[in-house]
Amino acid sequence: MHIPDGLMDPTVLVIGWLIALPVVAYAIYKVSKTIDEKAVPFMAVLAAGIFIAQMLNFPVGGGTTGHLIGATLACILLGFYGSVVVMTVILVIQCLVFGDGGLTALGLNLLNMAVIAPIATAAVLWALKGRRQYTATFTASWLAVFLAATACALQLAFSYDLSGGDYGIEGVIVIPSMMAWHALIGIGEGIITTGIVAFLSKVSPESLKMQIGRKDEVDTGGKEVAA
Amino acid sequence: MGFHFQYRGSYRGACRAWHLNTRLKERLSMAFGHDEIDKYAKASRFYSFDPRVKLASTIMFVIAVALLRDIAILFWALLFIVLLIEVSGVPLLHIAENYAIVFPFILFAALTMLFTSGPESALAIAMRITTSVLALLLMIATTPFFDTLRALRWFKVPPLICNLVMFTYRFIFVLLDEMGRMRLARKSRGFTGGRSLLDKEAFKTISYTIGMVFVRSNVRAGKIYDALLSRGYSGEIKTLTLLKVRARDAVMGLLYVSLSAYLIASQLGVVPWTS
Repeated sequence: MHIPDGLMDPTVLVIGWLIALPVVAYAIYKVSKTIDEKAVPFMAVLAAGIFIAQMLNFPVGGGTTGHLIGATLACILLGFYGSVVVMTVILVIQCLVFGDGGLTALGLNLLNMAVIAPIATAAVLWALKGRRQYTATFTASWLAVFLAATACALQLAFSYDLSGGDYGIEGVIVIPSMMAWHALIGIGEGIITTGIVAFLSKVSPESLKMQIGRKDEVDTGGKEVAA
Repeated sequence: MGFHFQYRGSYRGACRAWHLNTRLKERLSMAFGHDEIDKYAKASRFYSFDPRVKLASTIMFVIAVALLRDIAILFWALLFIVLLIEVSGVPLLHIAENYAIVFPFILFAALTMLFTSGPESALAIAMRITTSVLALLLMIATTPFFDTLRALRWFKVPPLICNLVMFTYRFIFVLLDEMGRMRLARKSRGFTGGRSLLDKEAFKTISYTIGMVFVRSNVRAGKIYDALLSRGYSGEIKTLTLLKVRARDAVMGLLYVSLSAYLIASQLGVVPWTS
């Protein structure tokens, strides 16, 4: 789902930057104001962990594999603003160090994976208010993947229409295929994220309490998630 | 570690086994790519060029390429970047390997384009993505990681993001080692990877592996932070050398600027295009 350069219509690229950048900037502002220095290595470890989790393929069926996005995991461990920052860092490294995802397309990639996915997660977690830990985690992960993929498909379709067939991929093809495929991948993400949360709440419940960026919720948030 | 049991009584044998072990370890860490990223940066002719110029030039070129629709103009852009890769001295195989990762995506986009808008648009989109990807790969292959980071800092990327990028990059390799060891352990217990989404055991194993990586890395992050503090870390990156734009950097920047301007001008029809 990492969009390369040259695929999208320039107008769509600009729109992506215009929506993603303010959200990311606000999240950075929020996080830098609330965290102490000691939290930076911890956030980085989580970012590296998610980066590596993204490299671990899980089987989908028919010999194909999918991989995690990890936004939900980041959101559960760090809170909304923390997860936006962590996903931004991951995308910047993937773009500038590994050439995965384009420079001009970074705005759209940020929008899909560092803004839409955490918002979907935060919305589900907020709606369930910390109850039904495993159901909430599974639903949030599935929805995050599904919405991010849908957004990506819509951007491709919009590019195609806007440029009169010079950029993007036609909506009739890309929207159903991306949505169906990622509905499946979302299940994998849901199972794995739920598994990780279950594992962490058993083995190391303190790691579920690192709610960076919303310090006032640390006590209650931690207890509810770990309960 | 296990050589005590295999070579009981024979010191030389134990030594040999230990050497084998370290060689194996080197192999393993190479396989997981510690030096992969910066491997060709030092060998390249563009290695010591100013990273800010490289980054800015690449961004500008990629933006220019994103605006191109004409195959003839795209051809010159592609030719320019291929020539530049040739001049840079980065092994073509290295670029090709990285390009191969993106290739299925290009193929998919071009194939659907072929059926919806015709062969010309399909070729144009394939060339456009290829040119931009090659430009980005060239920059990455010729710039060491820390130079990229300093360029980002100079371009006023917030310190929080820069620090996190630096730490994350460091930790990726630490965790890769951790992951490699756990993969080996998993494999030796007979884990094969599972077949489909219904494979409950496979998912349990994968989740627990990732969970364990987080637990281990949390402990490690604490130790690393303490080590940093004792070395005087205060949250700011300090480097010994200063960045400086020299004549060759200016030449390179100018080359990129003039070509990008020319490409856009010919796409807009300002410059009469003869082909």
